[in-house]
Amino acid sequence: MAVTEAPSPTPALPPAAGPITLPEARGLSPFGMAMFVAADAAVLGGLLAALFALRAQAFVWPPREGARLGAYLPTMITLTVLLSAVSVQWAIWSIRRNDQRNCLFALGLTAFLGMAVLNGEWYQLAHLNFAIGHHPFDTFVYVLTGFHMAHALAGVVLLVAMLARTTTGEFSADDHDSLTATAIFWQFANLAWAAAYAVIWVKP
Amino acid sequence: VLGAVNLLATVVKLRAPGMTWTRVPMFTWSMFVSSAVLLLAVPSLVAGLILLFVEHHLGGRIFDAGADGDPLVWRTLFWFFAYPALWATVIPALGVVSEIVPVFARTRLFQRRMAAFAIAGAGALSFAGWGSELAGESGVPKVLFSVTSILLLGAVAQLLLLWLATLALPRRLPRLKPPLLQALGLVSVFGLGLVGMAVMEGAATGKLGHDSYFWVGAWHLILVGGATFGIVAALFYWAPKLWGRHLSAGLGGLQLLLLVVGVDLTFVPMLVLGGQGLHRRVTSFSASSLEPANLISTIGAYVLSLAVLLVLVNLLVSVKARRGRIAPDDPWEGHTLEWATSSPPPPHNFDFLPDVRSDRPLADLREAGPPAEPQPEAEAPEPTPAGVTA
Repeated sequence: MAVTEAPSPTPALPPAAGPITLPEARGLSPFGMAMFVAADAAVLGGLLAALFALRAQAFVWPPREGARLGAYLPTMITLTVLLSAVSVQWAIWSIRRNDQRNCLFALGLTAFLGMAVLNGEWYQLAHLNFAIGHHPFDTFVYVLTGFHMAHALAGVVLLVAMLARTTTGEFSADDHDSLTATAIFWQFANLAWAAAYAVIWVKP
Repeated sequence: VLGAVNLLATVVKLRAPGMTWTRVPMFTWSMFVSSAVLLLAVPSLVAGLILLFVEHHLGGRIFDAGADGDPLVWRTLFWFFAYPALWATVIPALGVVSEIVPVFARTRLFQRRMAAFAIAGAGALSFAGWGSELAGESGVPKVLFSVTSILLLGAVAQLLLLWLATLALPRRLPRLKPPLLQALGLVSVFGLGLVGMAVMEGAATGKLGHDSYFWVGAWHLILVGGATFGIVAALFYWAPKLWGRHLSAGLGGLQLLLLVVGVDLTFVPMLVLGGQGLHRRVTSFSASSLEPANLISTIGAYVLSLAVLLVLVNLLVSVKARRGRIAPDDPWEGHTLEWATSSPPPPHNFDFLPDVRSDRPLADLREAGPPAEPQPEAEAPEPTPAGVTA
């Protein structure tokens, strides 16, 4: 059996000098967003893995009956996405210098470019001349475009919210965690489009 | 996924001052590893579900073998999720036992850093083992996944040995209180499961292993032995802190006995059934030779259920009906900070910021404080063959 011992007294914590002052947790929301984006990237990875697996064993990939996929619109979307990737960084660089006006303009520009991208993708999906279920490749055109559209939509909502908060002067050079988190999410959305563009149009 | 993000961000960004990575409690560390695994494993299921939804409701075509699709894509995506997720349910139990064992052995966790690496290694390797579930693979992948699965089992087995070394090295009996007893229940069942898994991954891959009841038996010894015993041990250990009352030790003893017997009785016959060739996911069979083991397994399932019921009864009687012994703030002479606050703790946990200078801040204070009686120094463990074996 257990050796009997008189229980030693529970030590009391030494009293601290003064009340508790917790150090402010800097970078909490960017870190949380980075973790979320890691999981989101794994979803994208799963979709791409499925695509690569099917592509490797397919008899025809992509199905080519006639000129099915134009390259003009997706390339324009890609350029717009690239512009928005720069403009969202512009917003971050501005707020780091406490430059509210530039930050505001860059955020607005990014949100506008995001809406333009959404518009372009919607138009493209509406005008595809093949159905979603004709071939796995076709399904992936819809799925990967839709995956980016969902993220672009969420990103635009976030950007508009950040825009509203910037107009009230809430962010400063050393306090703009939410802005950084939004930028991280936006850059992931851009990456999702880059992946879709690469596997559908560049090297199908 | 969001729960995992929450936990990861809290552990990374909101630790108390002085709480360096090497001082994080083992249970916190195991939850951290488990959350990281889930964070990256669940998305694979999400991707599969997206494709399934698109195929079923939007008319997409992914899993249709007739049109350049492949139904096996689902199985691969699913097991890339499920294999790590199964281990993610067990890993917190490993953390619970890693907390309990040193407290009741009244010493440090033997090779604490190695134990932390073992838990992290199990988490990392869980991503390399998914292919072992896709029976019928051939050649290099089959061997590769066998090796990674066995490496994972090795990491967990090493942890088991470190616990046993922690209990054995002080050369005095550990305090055999209910939490430690439940933890030892985990060790007994888990050890059996590890052997079963090792046999399955090493020697009996393919038909005999993964496609048979052997798989069900071995996995469930790990899952039920690990997760259930982990939860029960954690309840016995932390109930005094959570609710200010001990769980009944008598009921706990009976339940421990029933749980060990129930788990072994339910899942060991399944190993035999697998050896006899019973396929996995079969609900009816005709061969009479399969009946005895199935009968024993069924009886075991009832015993197992009774044990789980006893846990609930214990909670209701001891905590809800307030019949349990009232617990002091630090009933076990714990090593970690939660035992320094009142039982149950106030919403803000501490009035003063704790001063963390080691992985066992409370044990430090106890040893440094004005001694009510001379405290024997925790003996520094000699290097022993146990480490080499591990």
